[in-house]
Amino acid sequence: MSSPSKNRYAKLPGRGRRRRTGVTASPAFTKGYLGEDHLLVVESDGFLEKYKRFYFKDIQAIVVQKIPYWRPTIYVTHIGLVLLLILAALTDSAIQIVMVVLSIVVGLMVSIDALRGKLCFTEIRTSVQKDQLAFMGRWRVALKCLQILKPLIEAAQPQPVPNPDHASQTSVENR
Amino acid sequence: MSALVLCPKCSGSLPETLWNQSDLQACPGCESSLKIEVFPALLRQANQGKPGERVVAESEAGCFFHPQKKAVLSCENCGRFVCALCDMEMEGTHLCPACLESGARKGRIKSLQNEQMRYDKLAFALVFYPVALLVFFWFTIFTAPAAIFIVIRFWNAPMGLMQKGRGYLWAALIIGIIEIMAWIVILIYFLRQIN
Repeated sequence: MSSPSKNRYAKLPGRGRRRRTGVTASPAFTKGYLGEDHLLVVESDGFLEKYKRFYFKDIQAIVVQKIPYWRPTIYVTHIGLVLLLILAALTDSAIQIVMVVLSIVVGLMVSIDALRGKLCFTEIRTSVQKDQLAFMGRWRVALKCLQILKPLIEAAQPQPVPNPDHASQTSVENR
Repeated sequence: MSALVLCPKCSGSLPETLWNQSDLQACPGCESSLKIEVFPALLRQANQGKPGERVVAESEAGCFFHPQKKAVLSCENCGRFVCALCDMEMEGTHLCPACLESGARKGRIKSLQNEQMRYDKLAFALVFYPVALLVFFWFTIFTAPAAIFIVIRFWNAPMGLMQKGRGYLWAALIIGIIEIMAWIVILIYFLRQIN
């Protein structure tokens, strides 16, 4: 990934919609871009783009909550798929074709979702706000983005984090 | 201090022992798996805003917006004297509140821009989707001229912070012209058939 220059942005991996308790809560797609001194979150609902900037020096914490694969919506989708397959087996002629097509569509959706990896909920915190980073909605993507963002945020905030356990561990190692 | 970082699921406080660990940590409240990255800004004291100093001597320049406050510098855009309270530093430039507001409204200060209409995407959608959704191809008799109008009208308009070129506008223009030419050919063909 190329480093962003003034007023130029480098795209971060991932895109997604805002979620609440694992269910999509907004139709707008969110993408993340890396600016020179800030993270730009772009929320686009078709033709209107809304921008939110999180300056590296102001970011206090990023918390990622891993969501287990077997969540209520996945249960419902799998039960629906099984029902469609049963109906396809029991019916005949035109209805059977419709059921088979629907099963393929639902099956594809389930497979794509599984292939994209586990979901997660990412929250960013500054001194004045708390917001969801919807583009970091998949666990793998969130880890990749954190790998990119962490050094940049730490470079913008030079003081070390006082973590008692971590601090004592490193001081023992140094000895 | 530990109450500062909260679990996104249960809003319970996350103790410092869970911060910045390489592996996943369980929330003490809801047991959900968390990765918590905390940065020094969390422990930083919030900076106090600068108060404007009062004008002591009559010879001292006062702020344009608060005449009783001492001017510390002048706006780099309009030249008005401003006090420490009214000095707005943006992208290394010192501005007065009025210039900052007008700059944000007119979209001159990029870092204050918080939304943008993407006319390029709109023009492209007008020429592309009716053709892509085959059944609606005849919509292009209206949408193609509309798209070309948008392309011409907004050719020089800003198209978002991440815009690198006019790809969508060029594509909309070319496809729109092709669609209009196709309609002209169809029209000529039918007129000849009638004659």
